[in-house]
Amino acid sequence: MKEKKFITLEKQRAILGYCFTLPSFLGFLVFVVIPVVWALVISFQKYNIFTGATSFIGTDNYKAILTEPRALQALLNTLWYAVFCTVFNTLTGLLLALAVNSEAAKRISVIFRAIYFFPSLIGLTFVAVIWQVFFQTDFGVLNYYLGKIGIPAIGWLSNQHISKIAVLILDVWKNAGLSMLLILASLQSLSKDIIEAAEIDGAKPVRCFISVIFPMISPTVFFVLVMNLTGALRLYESALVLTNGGPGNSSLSLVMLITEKSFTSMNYGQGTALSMLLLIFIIIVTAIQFVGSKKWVNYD
Amino acid sequence: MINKHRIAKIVKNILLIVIMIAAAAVFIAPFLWVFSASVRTYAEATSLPPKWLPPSLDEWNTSYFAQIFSGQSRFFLWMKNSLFLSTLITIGMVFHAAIAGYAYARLEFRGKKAMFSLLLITMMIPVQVTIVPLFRIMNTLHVVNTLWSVALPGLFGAMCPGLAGGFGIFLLRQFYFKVPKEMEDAATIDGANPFVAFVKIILPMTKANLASLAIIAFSFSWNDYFNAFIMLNSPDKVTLPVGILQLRQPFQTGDNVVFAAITMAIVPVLVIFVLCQKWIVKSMINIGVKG
Repeated sequence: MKEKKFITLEKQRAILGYCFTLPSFLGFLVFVVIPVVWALVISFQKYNIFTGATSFIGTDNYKAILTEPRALQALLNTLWYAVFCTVFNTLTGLLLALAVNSEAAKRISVIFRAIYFFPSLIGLTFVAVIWQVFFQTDFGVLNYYLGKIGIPAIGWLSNQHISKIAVLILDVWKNAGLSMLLILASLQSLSKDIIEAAEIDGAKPVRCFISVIFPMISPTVFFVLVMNLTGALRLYESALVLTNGGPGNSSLSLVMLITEKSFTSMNYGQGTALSMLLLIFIIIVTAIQFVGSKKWVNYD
Repeated sequence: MINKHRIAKIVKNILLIVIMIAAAAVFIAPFLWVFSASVRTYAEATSLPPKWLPPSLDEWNTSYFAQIFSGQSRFFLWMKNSLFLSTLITIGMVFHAAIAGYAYARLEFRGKKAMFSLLLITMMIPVQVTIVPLFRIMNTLHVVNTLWSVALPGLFGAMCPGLAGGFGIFLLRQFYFKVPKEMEDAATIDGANPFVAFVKIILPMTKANLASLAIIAFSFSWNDYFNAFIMLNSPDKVTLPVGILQLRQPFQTGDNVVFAAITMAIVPVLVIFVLCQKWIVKSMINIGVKG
């Protein structure tokens, strides 16, 4: 009937499909896909970023970083952050969410939610500068109050065994609010009937949480856990501002070392080799997420 | 019996509220402190016990704010850079995510699945992995040390913590799935071509979701330190998070202009947060639940 329309609607929609997807697709190709493949290549090269000159040196970069004590220390520190930042962020988020969602906070829960969440919106570099002042050994706010209850001054930023804990405290203070927000949203979407039914059946609050509520929010908690884990693997600004990786290398993170190798010592090969290790960690986490979200997490 | 139960419950609730208020104090304290420090002299600000609240108004030391407003520090230059960059990234990202999200959700074309799979893969690649090649690309394009060197990768999620790349597309695609198909069909029966149908019918329906994405993209790029730190190196070109670290060293110089700068960097966020708390919270929940 419509002879003059040469292009069918289906074709029109396909053409529009290409017009709509190509801008971002090409962008991701140029700014993500090609760079990641290129980075893999550079990790086997001696590379000059300004001239582009390269020479293939096999696995030398990997051998160099895997035998360098400083790099091993950074890897170990990053695993430490991955475990503790992830656990404490998720746990704090969960506890705050339960508190905000409780009957006690009912009328003012929005205010608590806003306060706990606010630090998540602020740039880490801004607040890290404040916390650096708080963590000072002699004039720091933290030690002042600890001193009041009889705890001797702690070298938050100057003691090798404690510097990571200072970074952890800042990280949890900064990020737990986002975990809380996501878990809280999940709690609030639960049907009240099931929980009430459990309570009427005489389940104690703890028991009710473990066997009724937690299974229902577990997909969100799992998501938050993974989010915190990938965040912890990329930990950077907090350690940079608080301790600059020190004392010694005690709080040096993987991303700090990647940046330092690549852009301070101009050793791009070793810098990208380290970044490939980061990528491997993230691929492992993503694989666990993929399998985990299918298997042991309760979706209803 | 019931009374005893009730009293126990009330006591428990009060205890919980007290703990929650204590926790809230910990979350607020650094902000109070930095504001208080910014209107005191250095010696006063760092003396113990800590000064959580600013002194009475006539004792305010406004010299640090004066320093910022007189242009002695580059604060407003950095703010301008940050504003320009975040606005550019936000607009670009919302635009390309809106059209691509729609195409991946609703249009049929060859290669769609492969393209979308590649997109999903890019979502797990953090910018720290690609930064050396990215720097090389920017160097070749002669844009290193200009805001474009941060903006171009930023459009494709370089500044997003955790959820890099195509999360905007992914997010909006989920929303477009929910738009009833009848809406489109009705438009095309009326003779509109698919593009017109999208712009006139579909796009207006997703305004709220576009705003969600805009809030997220803006706050990520506003707070981004890493990309700006690597790509920008002259003091006039950097953004607020990088600039403020250059102002640091209060302990060496006895100068707390950095606290005044931090206060001024935080206040706009606080104002926006108080005004649109509901929106911001909803946006963040959206990425969490859908991302």
